Amino acid sequence: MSTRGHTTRPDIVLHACKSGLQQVNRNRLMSIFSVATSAVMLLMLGSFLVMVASLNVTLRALEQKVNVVAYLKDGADPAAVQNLHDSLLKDARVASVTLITKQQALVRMQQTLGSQSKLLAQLGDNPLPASFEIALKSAGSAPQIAQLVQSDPAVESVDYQQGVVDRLLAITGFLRLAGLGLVVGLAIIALFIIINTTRIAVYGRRQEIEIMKLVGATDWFVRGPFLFEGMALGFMGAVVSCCLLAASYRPIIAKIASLLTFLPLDFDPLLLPKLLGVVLGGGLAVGAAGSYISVRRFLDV
Amino acid sequence: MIVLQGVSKTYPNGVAALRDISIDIPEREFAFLVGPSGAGKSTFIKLLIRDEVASKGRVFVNGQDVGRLKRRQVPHFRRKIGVVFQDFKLLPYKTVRENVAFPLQVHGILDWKVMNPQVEACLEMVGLPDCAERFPTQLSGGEQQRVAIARGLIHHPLLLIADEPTGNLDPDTGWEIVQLLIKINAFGTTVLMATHNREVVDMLRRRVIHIDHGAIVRDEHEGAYHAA
Repeated sequence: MSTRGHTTRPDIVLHACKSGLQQVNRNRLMSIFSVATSAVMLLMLGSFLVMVASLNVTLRALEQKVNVVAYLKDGADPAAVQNLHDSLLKDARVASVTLITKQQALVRMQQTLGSQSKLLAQLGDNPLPASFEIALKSAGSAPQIAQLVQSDPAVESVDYQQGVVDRLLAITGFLRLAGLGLVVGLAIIALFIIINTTRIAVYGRRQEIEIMKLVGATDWFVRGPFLFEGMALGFMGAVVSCCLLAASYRPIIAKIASLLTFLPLDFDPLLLPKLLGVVLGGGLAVGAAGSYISVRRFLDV
Repeated sequence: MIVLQGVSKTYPNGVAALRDISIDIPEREFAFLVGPSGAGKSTFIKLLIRDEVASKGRVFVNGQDVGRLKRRQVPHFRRKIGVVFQDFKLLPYKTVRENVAFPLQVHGILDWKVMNPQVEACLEMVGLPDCAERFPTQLSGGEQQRVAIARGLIHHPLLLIADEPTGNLDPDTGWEIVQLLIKINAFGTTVLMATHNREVVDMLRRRVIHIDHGAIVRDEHEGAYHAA
């Protein structure tokens, strides 16, 4: 049997936890309201996170399509060609280098022309140059690589569709920024709404806080149950929105993929677990923060 | 038990609630604090429980200089005092048992095996032995005030302050509450009761401290509600 003086800190935390959960249960209407609010907010935030994550994947896929093509001079010194190939491979900005021989270029052209490929035969000798297709790690380095390659003696000309790349980079940069801004803005709004809901709930019980203080409770003794209550409500809201997100995630991804069939979409398989982690952690943190902030105003008794 | 030395209280809005009050209420006394609404009774009580701090002068309760308590010392100071309010101030989402036990929990006594006998003894004392599992909203006003008194007593305070405890009750119920306070006083607790209830004051003939316009206009032992 524990007596006065033997009460330990874990005892008090446990007591705060118990009475916090008891408050959730006894104040059921307000609890349901709070859980619903945080569930809706977290669901909204979660869906936008999915959308922004898939947008990022799409943008990266688009940018990876940017190639620099270096057409080689006919009869260039094989040693010089080899040199160029090696130096490109060593460059940190280059993802891969593929040599397209004159023969391969001709085959490609034939495939492109299809039934009209007979026309090529009339040209006699293969007129197409050999080339290097240089895939880049980031589309932004295309102009520099192009310039570098252009100065090589084995190279006839360089093509990287400058205008297209510049515009693509402008658009993807804008979309990334917009996505980030949207998520940050939405997170702030969600935080604000959840905290405000808590404030209303706590405001309705400010007299309880006053009573506890008048009976000699310390700030932490009053705050403890409210913190656990906030965390429990935030967590329940997060669980609800997680269930909805998990259920709707695959259909949404499938929908996006079917709308954007021209893009090689490759979704991060860890996106869903990461997302659920963020939502659950966010629910707990926001619940606790909301309670802490709301209770603080009324502790000065 | 209670000593005030030249105490004045002016609120930030300029209202002077108390002017130069000095008084000494010894241990085991039963004292009434009377006077019209707005006379300063509530401010007087707020100073005693450190809900407000005096603008001038010093307030001692149980030998402690109340005005000089640091913020973190206030909870410990309040645990030595029991307070009963006109509007009961019970916690609505806690049962009667939990309400009465609350001051013990604040003291760090969290084991129901320890709390229960004390809660039951207090409920027995105030005449509500069978209400422990009910919520305050399920009780009448008089019953709620008894619960509040049980809560005010459970930690054996040296001083019980009652701020118009009969103000919301019918005369008969009010009488029962006052008799309860007399009984508590008989066990050795100092009781200070602010009241408008003339009948009670006239009947009991205890010490009467009359405040009007923020000043003590009368302080009589075995006094009446109005000056003789």
